[in-house]
Amino acid sequence: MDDELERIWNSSRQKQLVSYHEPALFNELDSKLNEFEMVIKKRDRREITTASIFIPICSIAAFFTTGLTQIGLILACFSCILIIYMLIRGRRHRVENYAVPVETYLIQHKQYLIKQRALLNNVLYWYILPIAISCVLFMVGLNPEKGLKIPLVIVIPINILVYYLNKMAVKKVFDPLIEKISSAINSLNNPNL
Amino acid sequence: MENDHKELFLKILELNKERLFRICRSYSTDSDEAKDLFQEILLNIWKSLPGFKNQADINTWVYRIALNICLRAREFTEKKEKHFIKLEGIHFENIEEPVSESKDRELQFISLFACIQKLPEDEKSLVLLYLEELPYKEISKIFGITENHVSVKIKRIKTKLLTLLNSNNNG
Repeated sequence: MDDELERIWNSSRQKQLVSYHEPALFNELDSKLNEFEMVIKKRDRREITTASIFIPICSIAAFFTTGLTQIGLILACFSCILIIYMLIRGRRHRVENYAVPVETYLIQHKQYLIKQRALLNNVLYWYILPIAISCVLFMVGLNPEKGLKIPLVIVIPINILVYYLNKMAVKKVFDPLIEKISSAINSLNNPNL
Repeated sequence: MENDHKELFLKILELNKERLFRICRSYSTDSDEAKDLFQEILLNIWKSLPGFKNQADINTWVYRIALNICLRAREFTEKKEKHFIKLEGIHFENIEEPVSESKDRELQFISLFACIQKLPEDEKSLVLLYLEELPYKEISKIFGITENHVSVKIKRIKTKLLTLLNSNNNG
């Protein structure tokens, strides 16, 4: 009975399932690896590229404006820098080395997910508020007669949606994943589980 | 140096391809996903090869990468994100149907396979390595837990699997 599982499992081992063409494989591995690294680099540079376009435009615009519009634009530049900093800092903990023991990988990956979750939970402070305040100041500055009414009508619903989407991601993706990884770590550490 | 890496990679592939593929299959919902996962593992082994130090056992190193990639891939599946890379130099035989000597054996295999897929991720990984006949010592190094711990866990998982199998067969 003790060997039953092994016997059943071994019954699937008769046929060769995988074959390869050696020269083609190495060429492909090298090219796919380059492609893969380019995708990662591109993704990591995405925010910096966006910022390198957005910040000069806002700075130049701020130079030619005055009052609330100017303050809004300057604040937008700082908000942009803050957002990039937060995103890059969050990525720093991503696990890239897969050759570590499974338990170590799970612990490192859990730490990364906890940091990502914290980032989403605090989205109000590093993303929504700075951008929302910049937008409101910019819009009020452009059209001071209409006051806060129109800017708030535009900015508030968009930011509520952004906040809600982030909270949903925490609840639906990050919380269950972190819980699952925690229970896997506990189970590995405790033979009685 | 690159030739050494190529040689080592081919050795790894030749010795472990079937085992690795069966592990991928157990972590996938269908054979296409298993093929993608297998190729992802190969790419990561190739990528990590320059960092491989000879003091570690090559099999331990390979299975660490394989399991960690499988665990990460499960997460992407749950997030419904696909991010795999296709390698045309790898060919797969007809893998839709499990191969076995008799119809009865085949049904037993399908049933065992289904039961393994129901296990939590850590238990699944442990029992897969056990079924692939990796020694406890090696499994303990792959997971970073003690050998004794591995043996206790595997004993429990086997009992659990046998109960599941029997209830499936009776049901």
